[in-house]
Amino acid sequence: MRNLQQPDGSFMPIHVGAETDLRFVYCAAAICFMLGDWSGMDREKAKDYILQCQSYDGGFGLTPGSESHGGGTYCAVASLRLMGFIEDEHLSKSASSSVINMPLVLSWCLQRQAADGGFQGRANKSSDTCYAFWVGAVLRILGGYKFIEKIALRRFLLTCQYEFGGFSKYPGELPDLYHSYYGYTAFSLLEEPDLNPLCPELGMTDLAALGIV
Amino acid sequence: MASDLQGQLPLCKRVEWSDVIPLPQDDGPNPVVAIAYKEEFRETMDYFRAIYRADERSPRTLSLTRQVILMNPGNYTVWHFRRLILETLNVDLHEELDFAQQIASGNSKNYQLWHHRRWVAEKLGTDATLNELNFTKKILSVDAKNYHAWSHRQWVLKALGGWEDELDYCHSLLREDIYNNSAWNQRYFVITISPFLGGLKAMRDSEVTYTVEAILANPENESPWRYLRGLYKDDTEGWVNDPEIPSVCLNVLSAKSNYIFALSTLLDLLCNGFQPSQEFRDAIGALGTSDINQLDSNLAIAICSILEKVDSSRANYWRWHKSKLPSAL
Repeated sequence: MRNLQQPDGSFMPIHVGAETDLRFVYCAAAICFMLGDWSGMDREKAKDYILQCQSYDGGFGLTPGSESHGGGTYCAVASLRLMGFIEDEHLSKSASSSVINMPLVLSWCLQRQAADGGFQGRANKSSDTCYAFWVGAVLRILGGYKFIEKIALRRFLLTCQYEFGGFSKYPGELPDLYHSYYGYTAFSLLEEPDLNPLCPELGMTDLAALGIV
Repeated sequence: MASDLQGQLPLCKRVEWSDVIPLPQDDGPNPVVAIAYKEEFRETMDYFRAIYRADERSPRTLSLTRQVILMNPGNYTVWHFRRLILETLNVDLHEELDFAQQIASGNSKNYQLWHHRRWVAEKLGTDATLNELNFTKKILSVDAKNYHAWSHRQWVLKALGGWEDELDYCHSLLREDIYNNSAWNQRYFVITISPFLGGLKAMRDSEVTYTVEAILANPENESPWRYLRGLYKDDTEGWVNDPEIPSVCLNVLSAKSNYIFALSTLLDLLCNGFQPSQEFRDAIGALGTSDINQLDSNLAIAICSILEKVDSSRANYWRWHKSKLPSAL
């Protein structure tokens, strides 16, 4: 995995050549975290790359210069948390400094909740089930989840639930595994009764995380 | 070049493949949830595995990789092997751009396709610049927010050039849809990095004018407000001292409609030391969101209270923000 890290700090997914972006930085950080072994990556370099991905509007793109995006923002913030560069629930603490522009990323994340209650992945795009996790988890990590409008979100997510089970991206469409999984994680963040608590930076239950780490 | 999968003989019946022994997929002794591949797919992959194992790089294997990619454009191993064949055979890569275009028409969000396109463009160098800009423009004309297309376009500009018309291109997209956040993002990219423009500070005044116009046309549009703030990234002093900023806020507030971003921007200014004139207090009072006599003497607190009501999705946030304001402590 060390050999997959690029000079700019990003990661390539395979040795033979592929695109490099924040998704694989996140994968590397998650792997190291789960193994309890950081020799597979240079954390400082990875942090530098992540910082370059913060857009002028506070969110993070998948590569430097790219438009801020819910998935990119998740990979950025979750990675920084896993690597130990941001503390848990930073916003709830009085410490004001941070490697990233916290007030701006908070504002960006909260603005992603649309009038229909769902979360959008980018400004002026439609709400999509999975961003309730990608953006919601960022808010949870930073200590800002309490600021969202939970009732409206729950209502939106339920409109994305298929009558025979599973979740789709948008209301009224056919479900798929990906949106079903992230629909569930979103409900877990909402503390829906009978669902297990979620470890936001790994995207799995605390129970599962406990078993792995 | 054969591009149609239908009406072809199975590989096992073709003379030109008779020397190859197909290599089946090894799912192990107890396959779990084994995929029910279609016969045609299974056979094609069995032949691919055989020539991949043998590392045969020839016109016939090049053609085979095309068939596999058409069947499953997500198979990054095949894309990689195709690149090895292209290099060995020293094929004219302009034809490869046509192949990529063909795959793009049904799969414009496929990562492997875009990586392949980048690889080809990198090899062709500046010869490919115009072609790549036109290609991404075509994809964006169907979906003006295709993330891969924008990413590729940014790479082309940085690696191969072609900046001259990019600001105009952003403008044309914004004329079509002023809400297109991808176009706003590209605009920021251009003004900060283009070697033909002077950089952020040099472009700032003209960009502020451009953005203010966009805001006044649609004050409920988040993109230009974020862009405006971005023009003063890392320069809070400049942000607080530019009279255009409070001016556009006041303008929007005076119109009494779609003023949420105007209020939050004004709040940001106040938190950074902006000293408002009485006009601002009057304009906020005139919104009718609360009794003018009940407007808090601290304008920032008053704004938070209003936002709690009018931006109800974020009511908890505005309440918290209010509690953290200096006078509230």
